[in-house]
Amino acid sequence: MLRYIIRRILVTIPVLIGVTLIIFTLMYFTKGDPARMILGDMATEEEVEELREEMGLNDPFLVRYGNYMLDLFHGDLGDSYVTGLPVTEEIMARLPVTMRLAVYSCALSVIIGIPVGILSAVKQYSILDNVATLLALLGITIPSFWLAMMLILVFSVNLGWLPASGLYGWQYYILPVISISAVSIATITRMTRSSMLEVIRQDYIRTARAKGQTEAKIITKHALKNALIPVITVIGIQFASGMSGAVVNEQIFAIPGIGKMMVDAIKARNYPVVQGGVLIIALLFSILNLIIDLLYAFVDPRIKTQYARKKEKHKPQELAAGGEEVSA
Amino acid sequence: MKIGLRKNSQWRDVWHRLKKNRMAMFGLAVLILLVLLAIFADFIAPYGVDEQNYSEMLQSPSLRHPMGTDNFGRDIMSRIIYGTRISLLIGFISLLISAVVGSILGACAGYFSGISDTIIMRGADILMAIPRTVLAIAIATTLGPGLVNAMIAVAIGTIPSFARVVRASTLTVKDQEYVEAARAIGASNTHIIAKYIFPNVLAPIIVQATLGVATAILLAASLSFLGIGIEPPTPEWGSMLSAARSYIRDYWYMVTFPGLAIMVTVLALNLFGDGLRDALDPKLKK
Amino acid sequence: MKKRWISLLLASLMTLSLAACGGSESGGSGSEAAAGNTQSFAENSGAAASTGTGTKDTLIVALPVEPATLDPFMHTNQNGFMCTSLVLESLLKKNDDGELIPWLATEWAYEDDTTLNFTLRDDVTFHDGSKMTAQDVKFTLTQLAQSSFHSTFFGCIDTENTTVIDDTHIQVKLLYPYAPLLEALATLRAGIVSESIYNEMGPDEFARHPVGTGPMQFSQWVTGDRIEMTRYDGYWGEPTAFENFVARVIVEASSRTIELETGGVDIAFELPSADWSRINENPETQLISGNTQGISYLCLNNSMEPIAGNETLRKALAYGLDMENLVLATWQGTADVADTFYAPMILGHKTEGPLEYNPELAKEMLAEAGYPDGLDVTYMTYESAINQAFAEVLKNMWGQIGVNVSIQFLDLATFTEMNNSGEITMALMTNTASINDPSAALVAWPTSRTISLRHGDAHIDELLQAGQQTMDEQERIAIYGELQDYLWEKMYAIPIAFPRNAYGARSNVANLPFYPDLMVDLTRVQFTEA
Repeated sequence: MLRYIIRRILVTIPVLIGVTLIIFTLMYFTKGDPARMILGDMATEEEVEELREEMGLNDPFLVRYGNYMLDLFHGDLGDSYVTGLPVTEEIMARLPVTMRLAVYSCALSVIIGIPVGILSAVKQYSILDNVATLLALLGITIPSFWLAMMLILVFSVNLGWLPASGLYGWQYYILPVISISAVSIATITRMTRSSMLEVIRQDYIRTARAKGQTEAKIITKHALKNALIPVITVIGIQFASGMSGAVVNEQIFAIPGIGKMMVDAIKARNYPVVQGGVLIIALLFSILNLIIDLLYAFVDPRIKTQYARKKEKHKPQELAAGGEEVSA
Repeated sequence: MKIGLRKNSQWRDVWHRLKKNRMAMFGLAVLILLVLLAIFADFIAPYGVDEQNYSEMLQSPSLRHPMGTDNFGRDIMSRIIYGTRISLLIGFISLLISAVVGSILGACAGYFSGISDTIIMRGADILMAIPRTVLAIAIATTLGPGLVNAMIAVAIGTIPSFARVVRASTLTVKDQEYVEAARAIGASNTHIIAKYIFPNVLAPIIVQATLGVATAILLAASLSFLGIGIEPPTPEWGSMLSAARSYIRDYWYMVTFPGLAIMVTVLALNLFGDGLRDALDPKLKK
Repeated sequence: MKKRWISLLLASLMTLSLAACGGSESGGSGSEAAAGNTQSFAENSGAAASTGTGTKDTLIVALPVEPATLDPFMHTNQNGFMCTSLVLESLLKKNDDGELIPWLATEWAYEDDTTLNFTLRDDVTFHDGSKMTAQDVKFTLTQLAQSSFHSTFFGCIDTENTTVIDDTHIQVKLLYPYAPLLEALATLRAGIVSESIYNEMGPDEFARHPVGTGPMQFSQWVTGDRIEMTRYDGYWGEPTAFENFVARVIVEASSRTIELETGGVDIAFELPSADWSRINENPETQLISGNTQGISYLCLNNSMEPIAGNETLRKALAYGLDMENLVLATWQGTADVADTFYAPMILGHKTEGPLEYNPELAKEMLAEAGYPDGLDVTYMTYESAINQAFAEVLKNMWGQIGVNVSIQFLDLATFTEMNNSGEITMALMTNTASINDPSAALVAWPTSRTISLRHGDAHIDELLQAGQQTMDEQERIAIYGELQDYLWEKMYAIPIAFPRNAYGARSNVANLPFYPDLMVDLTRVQFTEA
């Protein structure tokens, strides 16, 4: 198990290097001159050229990328073009904000999604099931930015109950969290429902029922644990998409998180911040995937033995390919 | 579809099961309606897509303008009808791009294994390590705004998931007897992939694609909303929403109808996609 | 360096592990630490919003854009100057009647056209307690003269021969006579910076934490979110009516309006025109609007085909615009049709137009210009509601005279680069004169500018220079009159509109006049008992 974890972490490194290469290349070919963005329209061509030289923007691609990677291996993500602050500092100031939103949204989705999904499955075709299914369907179809606008319109403007922007206390979290989690509540509800339905029809549940166990016990003891496996994947994906959804929502709610940081940075051609931000998010995603895979093993011991078997049979690289092996 | 009768009857079964699913049929009906709207927009829309009328600016919904007019006096309903064209186009074409590219890569990875598998799947891992929205924003910024560029930006992020699905299916099909038989009689790799592997992985691709169109439409709309997708005056719904943002307080209909249009489309695609998955399910079951 | 990496990794791991734990009370430690220092003002604003009475001690404003830097020598951003208006002070200010009044300088006089003497107050201290002296003034003027952002107005200062006479006297020498200098010195651009503090902190740190002589001192800047200041107790003049100041960055225009309406902020800048009447009619808010010193013009690229050298074509394009409706549809009634190349409130404004809308004549002139069958042009715009709206109307109007407009949509960074390398074919540009003088209003016109106007007409340079270096007002009016005639004749660019602007405030905010240069001085703002 430990060896598996270490291998997984080692395999993440080339992925992260690949991420830096992709983002670096994209930014390299993007039109728009960071030096001109800093100096503005009034500066002469010579002044801009001088700054470009100073910033190393005139170096060839490989030199620039090489320098960036060299700094990266020394733990230096560079300085923001706009503020002059180290990128690490900027990210650390904003990452917790986004993470908090993502955690709360994820928690809300789990708290609502799983129970509703279970009830929906157990009472299939009931009114509750139909309402839940319909709402879940709406949840995945509603554009998040539109929902955000509507929430602000209703709860901040018309009712005056909640603040419309910023993040200065618990009540500020409510609207963004609802807006970000709408999709994941819906997805988790749907996933839980369908995977519960599948499990309920299995033989061993029928056996348990035949043995005369109470319905509640069957659900909690037998069905739930097995039904949760696919749900965990979905939670992981939803957590990730929650961080993605933060990009648009942070813009609308004026929240100084990492999503807003990156959109602003891309617009200002603030390359070090873009690269650093994407890199950190990619790192988080990789760690998250690892945790999810480990959770599988925790929920379903059968998978643990599968790891052990595979370790003997396969080369480490194939093992690392992530989610689908486990679910296959 | 050389496999002939067996294949045909299989799809007939799927259609049969699908027909029984009322929600899916509803979704399909809405989709057909939307496609018709898109194709015949020129005949259906009461006004031109960019027909400005400065004496009728910002009018509330009325008989003349069922969804009101915008800040240029354009008929919002007409623009939404024309917008169907744009949004469906983005959804389907970007999906087509990622499905084709992803499927080919996935099939290659699964079929050939070894080094090509490693390279392709590592590439997929890298792309998947970047949040889709962020990746799309970065690509859209690099390419510049515009319809085609937005399609590409939306498409690239979806390639890995197709590659993975197709690779997994290919792996299971690859060792089947009929494929081995084909190989034994000396069929070329391309031939095997095209004739045997591909038809068998079609089902998961289709399911993935129907649901993917919905995601693509949503993602394109958020790109436009952030101002890096499709530019006005193109009546893309997301860009209509973005432009209407500052009117949200007094002219609710400017924001409401494009949002509803997105919802209806995505809903229809999801209903149909779900139904399709269920209909194909017996085949997909392990 | 290593440590930083590790700490970052650890921190991400920690946050992630919290994430994995999911539902529990996890958000915990991190959030409290961050929320701790903001709690005070959140409560403050909440209380004010709910009651609407009582004396408020925190002024909260909503900025549309976060300033990139607050180093006064390194930007020309209105929002940046708005923030530093509380921190940095200039030698002179202007009163509500537009007259120059003493501020850090008590007296000033021209000895001759290129020599200017100042007497300074001797009771002024910087926020670290050190005294402001003539040496600091010299330092500031030198920096301004050498800054690429400010040399337009301060490049006339002869930094070598400007001499400090004693702590309170300085003699400023000029390289050439420059009429608008005193106007420029009275703007927020010319805030006095301490030489020793600036050098000690270095430009990077100063940019994040400016120190000056003003009534408020900087306390913190949370990137992407807000800037906070507190009252400076050693201030020489009248203290501000509020003890704390918070500038929140709210990019979404409609969110700024909503925050203003719900009492989340006291003042909101750059309100979208759609919200003006609502803010005006709401008893809890007030609209502070007025004409700006700005002009929006359709910039044509005179170094590119088909515009270059084709005066008839340029005029045909101008005749093809229904200015009245164009301005109405683009600005929704918050702008007036431009009648010349700069705003009426600026010295020497001369009414030249507007051109009548005449599509028939436009078509004839197009034919005369060599395009009897119409032509294709590309209009470029970036993400800006006004510019996009303009593009859509333009396309529609020119379409009717046979000019087929394709709109190319760029993002701001690309637009800026292309603009300065002369690649923008045509675009709506807005220039707000930062001082009330024709030379600032016509800042786009010298041939030395790199923007895509590129008319290359030396006669314009001559007139501009004559205008700047003539000290007599009547003579200046004549020169600028001639220049406007000439520009109108040549039509290198098409003047479109004089936009109005507005900011919104809660109704208990007083003493906030409209600033036509959009550089708002916040020092005098007060709260009235509602």
